[in-house]
Amino acid sequence: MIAYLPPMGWNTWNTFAQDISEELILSSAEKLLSTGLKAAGYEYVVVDDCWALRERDGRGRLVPDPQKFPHGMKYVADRLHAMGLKFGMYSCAGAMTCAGYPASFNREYLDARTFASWGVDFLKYDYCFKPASADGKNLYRRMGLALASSGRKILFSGCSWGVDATHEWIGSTGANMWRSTPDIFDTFDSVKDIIKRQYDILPYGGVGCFNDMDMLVVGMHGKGNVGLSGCTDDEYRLHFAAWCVLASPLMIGCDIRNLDETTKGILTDPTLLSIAKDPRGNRPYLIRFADSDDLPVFVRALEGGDLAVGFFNLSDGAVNFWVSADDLGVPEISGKILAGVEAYTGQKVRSANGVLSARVEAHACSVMRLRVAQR
Amino acid sequence: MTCERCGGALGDDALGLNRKYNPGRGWLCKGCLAKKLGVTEQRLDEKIEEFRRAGCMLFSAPARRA
Repeated sequence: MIAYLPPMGWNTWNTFAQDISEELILSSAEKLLSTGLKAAGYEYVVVDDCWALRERDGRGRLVPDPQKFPHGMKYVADRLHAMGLKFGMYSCAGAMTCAGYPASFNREYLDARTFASWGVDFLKYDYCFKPASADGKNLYRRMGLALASSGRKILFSGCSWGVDATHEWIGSTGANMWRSTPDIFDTFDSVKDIIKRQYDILPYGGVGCFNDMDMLVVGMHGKGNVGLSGCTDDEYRLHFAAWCVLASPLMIGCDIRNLDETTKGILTDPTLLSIAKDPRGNRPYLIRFADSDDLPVFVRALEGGDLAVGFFNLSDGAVNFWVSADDLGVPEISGKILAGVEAYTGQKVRSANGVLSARVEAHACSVMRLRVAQR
Repeated sequence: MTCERCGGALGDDALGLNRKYNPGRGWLCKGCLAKKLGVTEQRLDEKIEEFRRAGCMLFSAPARRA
């Protein structure tokens, strides 16, 4: 199983935590279709923690809670597949999941076979309750191998929160994506923290094993499990844009049954999705504007010689960003300019006198998809 | 351990709150953490109860009434 692009979909945890059910999953899946989110690329429907009974059965197998999933998981998988969607589930490398349900420590091969038999396409694999004597990387290698030999292609989503130097070994486990940070919450402080934690690990993500900045909080507005103070629409735009430019998986976390038009517009911005789904797989790099950690400029080379350039204002005041085109690989003497379009606004943008610039308000961003053009 | 902002005692469930909302960035009491996050302490208390209901073991069990 190779992930050539950052996986995209919807996950239950950010809004619903333990309040999940077959009805919720299937009605949310239908909304992915009717709102156009599936057409935009959001294809995985992931049931996170709290789906199982508190005890395994007499044969040691995980059992879906019949009160939440009365028809079992194969039924859910079959219904999702019939909609053209993919089915994701959750387990954990430790003795218990983060919410205290049975986890897969020492049962990796049994559980991988169980998931395969249900038609699971994606497994999120958490890191709670890991025995201190156990080696984290070995646990992920075990499950990676168990999934690969299960008889079904199952995307492996490592969720060890970036601890224990995850970035150094996750690529060797068979994981197709890896959580690089602590959990996200619906606050700008959390979004900002996660972005800043990327600065030193940008080279470690990419095709085959994408750096996962956690599920999106776009559109949550303070509600739900990870809801807190919420964010402004500009802060949600910044959040989504950063995830796209940095090639993170995009897992929607809000209640899509009540999707408002602003949230939908953010999640389906065509310029950003073209950047997120760019097949070239180049790593992004960082230029610190004014040497400030609060003013990152992220750049990523795209297919066809295009460039994604994002000015992200994490500070509390408006900033006139600029970057030399020379720093982006287009020296003035080349006779070339950078020209393209800005995400969200659709405005045409271009470099002038060898400089690309934009005024960006506090907690906002300006992200551009640019091509190299003749002056 | 005391709060890095106000120097006061961390208080009940502060460790869990910091691990959830302030991971790896020091230890704050509930009041200072609430200010940092832009919410009330009551909101944090509500979230603790939600997390307990979901099965999160970062927070102590509520005290039994006599």
